[in-house]
Amino acid sequence: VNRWDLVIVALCALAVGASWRLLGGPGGVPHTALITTRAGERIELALARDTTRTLPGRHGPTTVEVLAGRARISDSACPQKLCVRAGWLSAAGESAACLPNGVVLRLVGDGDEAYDALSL
Amino acid sequence: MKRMTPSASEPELRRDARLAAFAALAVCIHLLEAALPMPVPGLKPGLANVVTLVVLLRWGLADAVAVQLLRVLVASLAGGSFLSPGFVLALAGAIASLGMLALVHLLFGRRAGPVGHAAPAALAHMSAQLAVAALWFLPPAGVLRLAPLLLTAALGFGILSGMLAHAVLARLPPRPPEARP
Repeated sequence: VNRWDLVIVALCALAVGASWRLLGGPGGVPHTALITTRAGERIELALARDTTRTLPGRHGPTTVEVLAGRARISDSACPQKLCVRAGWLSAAGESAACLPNGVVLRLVGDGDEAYDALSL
Repeated sequence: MKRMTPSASEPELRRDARLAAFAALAVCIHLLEAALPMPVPGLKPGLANVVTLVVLLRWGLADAVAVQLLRVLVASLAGGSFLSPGFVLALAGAIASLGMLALVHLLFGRRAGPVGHAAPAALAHMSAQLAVAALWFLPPAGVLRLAPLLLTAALGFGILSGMLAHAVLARLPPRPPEARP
């Protein structure tokens, strides 16, 4: 490794560092909490306004809470409470789901989200 | 034994054989690596690029281009991913890294060693793949969020590839005089 190699690697490291500054922020800023229920109903809650909403599910009510630009499933009448343990969602694309009750909470921001995932 | 009139096609034949051998080696490394599980999708060491680097630094850009493109084509045929999204990603990365290798070669020539070539080429490779993924089939917001992490890994693997190429080059015997262009 000579002097020029070091110069080139240093430039590369700078570029990578810049990518962290430019792109590594808190992800997309969400503006809406999108709830879908077992009945196929879609409910949009603006994250700008604090609110709670209780939805009916197969096992009982599921409660979604919006507070200070974040959202969570605060309570749900399901056996395992995985949705509640998912905690607060704050970045666009994050989601919490109560599968037994059929309630899905997802934060929506700007940007194309045509697919959830793709296997190559 | 010295030949008075070596046949004109012999160096060309030798070049073909050399390219085929290096491409085959790179295909093997590529396929073995594809079988390795990685913690993050889209991330792998890219050790087949060591072969490209060695060819570039010892025999020049044209040979490196041939080996790299052959490797991507043959590995995709052998691995069953020809014309799949994964193949397009691999091809985009291969072309971008060749472009970066050519640029470094033009700008620095012999002054840049294997590591100086490999690090920017790895970044170009990863950037091209991320760009294709974002424009084509993944949510751009998600790709941008992952980009710094993947670029950091690419830089690390690029430096590693460069060091490996350096080690290989140091062990190769000096080139015989008739092989020089």
